[in-house]
Amino acid sequence: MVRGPVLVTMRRAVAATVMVLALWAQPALAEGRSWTGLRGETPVGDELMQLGEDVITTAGPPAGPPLSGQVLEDRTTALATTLRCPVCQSQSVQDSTSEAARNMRSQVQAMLAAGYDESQVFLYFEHSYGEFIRLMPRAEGFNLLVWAIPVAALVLGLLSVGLVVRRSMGAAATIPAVPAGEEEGDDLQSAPEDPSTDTPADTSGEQDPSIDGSLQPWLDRVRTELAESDG
Amino acid sequence: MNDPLHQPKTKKSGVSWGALVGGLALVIPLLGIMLSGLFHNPHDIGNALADKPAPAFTLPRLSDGAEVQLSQFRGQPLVINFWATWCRSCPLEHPVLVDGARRYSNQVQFLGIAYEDKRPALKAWLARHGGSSYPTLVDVGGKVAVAYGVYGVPETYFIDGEGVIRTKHVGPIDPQTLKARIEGIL
Repeated sequence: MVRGPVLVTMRRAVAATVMVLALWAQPALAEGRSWTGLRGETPVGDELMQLGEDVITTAGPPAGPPLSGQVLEDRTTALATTLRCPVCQSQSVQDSTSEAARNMRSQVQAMLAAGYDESQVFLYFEHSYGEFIRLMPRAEGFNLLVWAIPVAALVLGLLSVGLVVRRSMGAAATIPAVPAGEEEGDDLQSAPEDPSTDTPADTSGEQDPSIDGSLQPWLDRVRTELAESDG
Repeated sequence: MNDPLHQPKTKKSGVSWGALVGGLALVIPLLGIMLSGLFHNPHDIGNALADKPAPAFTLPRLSDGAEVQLSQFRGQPLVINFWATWCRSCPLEHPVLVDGARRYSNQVQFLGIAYEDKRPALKAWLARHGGSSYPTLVDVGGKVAVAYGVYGVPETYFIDGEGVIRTKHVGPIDPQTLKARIEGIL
């Protein structure tokens, strides 16, 4: 019998498949732009929603020119993208397929068509729902933290990375460079290998002209200590 | 002689206290914000219209289609209940509201506003649930729900005689809460 996480995964897979099939069968839902099967009543005979009498009380008279056609559609889409759907989880009015979002989008469109500008549209929706309705909070007061924290975190992160890189480069610079052809162990292994013994050939006292003179004491000491430890 | 084997170590190892304090100063407030979010109901967005004038509206009455304006009730405390036939908890509060409207009929006007619903379904629902003691209006196009900042049903608004929204109750209302809220607008 299937239990636990496997069962949960199977259920999720089935749910996802059903959702994909539903969206495939209903392209309108997938596009989110066509509205069918509405629960509520819609105005009959009007292409645009008639604005309620509360709009002028809240937002005042229209401050801009009335919009129409493609400009109206584009501005409606742009504004609806910045408004939060109140019945959804972190979705914009533009992205949501809920009926509440459709009504709000219609309201935005009607306000723009009547000549209300962007700030008046925000004013109207904030009057009803508060600042919650903005998907992007205004960059002022306490809200500044929302904008400042990511920037501060980025700057601190870059500074930390720079510091680490600088330290590691400084540490690398303090290690003496080994001359080419004299990598670790090269000198010791340069003597002919004697399979009968692990002791490297005693070359103490010999001066290899290819070796940097400053390294010679170091090499001599290594050879001496190796000889002592083997002896 | 400069012995390369016995040069003092220049690199310090261990915890960088400055980095630790800086990191904690950044992480702890973020954790606090995340934790507060865990205990916050995302649907509880408060009442932005508290102590503001109730948005005006004109809506058709369900029973006869006659237009009803908010201004008709000027000077009278109002209880406005947004509801729908598809709302699961609305049947729970319906008897409470019907009883409240009868009980306070001399002091308060009750109005129902149907949210995202159609007239035939509304009439059938009311017939099934014993009718109503107050008018139901149909929010055609949903613009009144937007004007009132409704984000779910049921929601009940309490408006005083001056036409100012005093409080809003989210979810099905019980008799005690209804009584207390009505007393707040009398």
